[in-house]
Amino acid sequence: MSEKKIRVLIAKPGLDGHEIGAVVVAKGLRDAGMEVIYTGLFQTPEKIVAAAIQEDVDVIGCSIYSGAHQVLMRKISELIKEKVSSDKKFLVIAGGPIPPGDISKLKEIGVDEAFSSRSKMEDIVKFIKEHVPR
Amino acid sequence: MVNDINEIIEEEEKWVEEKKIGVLPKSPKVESDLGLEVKAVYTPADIQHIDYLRALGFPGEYPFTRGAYPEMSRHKPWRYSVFTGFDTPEETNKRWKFLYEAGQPAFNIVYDLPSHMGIDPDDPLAEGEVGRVGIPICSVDDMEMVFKDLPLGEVPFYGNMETLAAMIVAMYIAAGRKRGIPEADLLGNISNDPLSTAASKSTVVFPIRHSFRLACDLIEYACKNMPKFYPCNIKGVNMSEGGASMAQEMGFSFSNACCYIEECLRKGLDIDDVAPGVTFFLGTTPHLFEEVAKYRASRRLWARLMKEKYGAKTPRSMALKFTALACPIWLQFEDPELNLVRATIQGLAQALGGAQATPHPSHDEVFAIPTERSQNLALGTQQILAEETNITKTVDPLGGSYYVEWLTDQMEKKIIEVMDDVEAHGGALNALESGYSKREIVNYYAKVLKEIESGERVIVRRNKYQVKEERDPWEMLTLHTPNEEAVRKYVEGVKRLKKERDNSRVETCLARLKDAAKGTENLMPYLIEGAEAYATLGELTKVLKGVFGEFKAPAFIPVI
Repeated sequence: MSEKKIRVLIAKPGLDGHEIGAVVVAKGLRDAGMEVIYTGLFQTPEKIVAAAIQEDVDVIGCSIYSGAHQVLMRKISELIKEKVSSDKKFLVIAGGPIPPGDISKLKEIGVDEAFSSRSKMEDIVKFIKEHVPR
Repeated sequence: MVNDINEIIEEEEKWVEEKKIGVLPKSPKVESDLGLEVKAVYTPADIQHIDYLRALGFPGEYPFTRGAYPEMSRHKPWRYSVFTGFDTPEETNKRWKFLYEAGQPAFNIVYDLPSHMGIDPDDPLAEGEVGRVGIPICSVDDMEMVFKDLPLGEVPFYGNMETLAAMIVAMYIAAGRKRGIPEADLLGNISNDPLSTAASKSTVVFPIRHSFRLACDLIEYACKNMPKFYPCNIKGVNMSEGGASMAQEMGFSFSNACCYIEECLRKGLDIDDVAPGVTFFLGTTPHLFEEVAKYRASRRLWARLMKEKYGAKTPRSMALKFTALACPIWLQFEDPELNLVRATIQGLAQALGGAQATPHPSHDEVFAIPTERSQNLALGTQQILAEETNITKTVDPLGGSYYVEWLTDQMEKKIIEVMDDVEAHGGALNALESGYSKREIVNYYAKVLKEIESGERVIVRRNKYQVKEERDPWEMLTLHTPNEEAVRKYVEGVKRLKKERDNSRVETCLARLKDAAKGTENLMPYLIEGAEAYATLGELTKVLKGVFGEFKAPAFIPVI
């Protein structure tokens, strides 16, 4: 049985324009054989969740550099609960300069993992492969 | 000449041969930012073609290679400062007072993201972002608060706003009028450069051509009414922060700057009215000599462009004046106090390169908004550079270095190549709209990141000489924590303002702005009128979005 490629949505929620992290991760995941869709900047949580549903992705990766990660990730988690049928699961990942103390708070609101600019690409790839809902 | 150039060349060849120069692998491996091989040593032979009076000359004289002003910092240091803006105008005002008393000769603001995008603090889209990466400026009320008990207008206000600059200046003017200070007396500058922003962090708000129109309106207005204010500070630094090479930073900056200038000439302004108001805000990487060469080459190239291409006549039009920021992209998380050292070296490059102003980053700003303590260290670093080191005794002290002069020439060539590429892609506006400029920058930085990952580009503690941290870097510093209570109260204040002001006056102003935006009139008088009536940044932006539409940033994944 040929394995279906993992589909990833890389998203930039909120108002910050720091894009390099997002595009570099997008490239790394694509190089690792995943199908990557990049939303571009300034996406609302509503748009991101709608895109994730429409593109039928397995993973939603959100890059946030503005410090607004709590508010934005909470909204995204709530929208997933509200809009997505319970048999569909997304692996939700946050990225950016997120203080370590905030990571557990993110996990409480439904984020599966958070990575920083010092995370190795191979670790991000490994995490996704091991945890992607199938 | 004591030595014959040919004799020097022969001797150099012999030396290379005998000493086996260039045989061992280089460490670190990464080449200069120009993608050129750097020789082991430079001699008079490498700069023999330079015609001193034509290519270098004297400081404050064409082509300004050696400096924008005759004596540069011999009598007074450059204007150093730290960017400050966080939580609320009231909280920021306290820090501004501290910095003013500590000898900072300018007020250097940094906004939060909702302000950059023209979203009011009470808008649901702003939730979680108010006061986070900078200060919210929503109405003239906020402008007055941030300058409370401080000499508004007398000390330069560096107004770092990109697309919505015209509105921020309108509020600055309105706040000045309330204190009885005419706009002609207001000191300062503002970025007002949506084009460079379109190639980097994309806070362009309206479609590029409309954001561009707004920027040109401000330039025109300031040229006619605000002789002490620099209305266009081209944001090369944004591209540098987005990962651009030095040549890209300058090439795109110049292409963008020429775009504004040409539009102002079309509006009927004279080149000698416009060009003096166009200044630059550039980045500084830790590559000291390349940076000095970049600043020197840029001054020469700009002077030639202004004189030869546009027929400028006064030195004020030809002398490139710049602010330089030690790019936080080169500050690191690992062992963060080392960022003090990095930024000091970058500060040295700025001083040796002849910067007019240097907002200095704090070592903790990769983590959070700098604290009073870290800003104090940043300011002190600049004060040491300016007054303890004797580097200001003579102008352009690296001028005449065989290496630096060679680098300056090479840098100039590379910058011209980038400008030619922009022309080949239809000029600055087209190159930005098609995403060409941004794509070039992102692809270059993807290459740099690869070098960092492979260790070719050494970053101490990040990819070499790592030590096991006893403490988490996040815990090593006392970081700024956002004052959520102050932000909450501030947002309430904005809501109150919107209820209590004369709303029919606001409506009238907004309607007049809308009509003007549909035509080709200069929008500044309408924005000032709105600011005086307490119309908010969000309201003014909304009106213009209704007429202009919204910017859509090109999205792509790098190819390298």
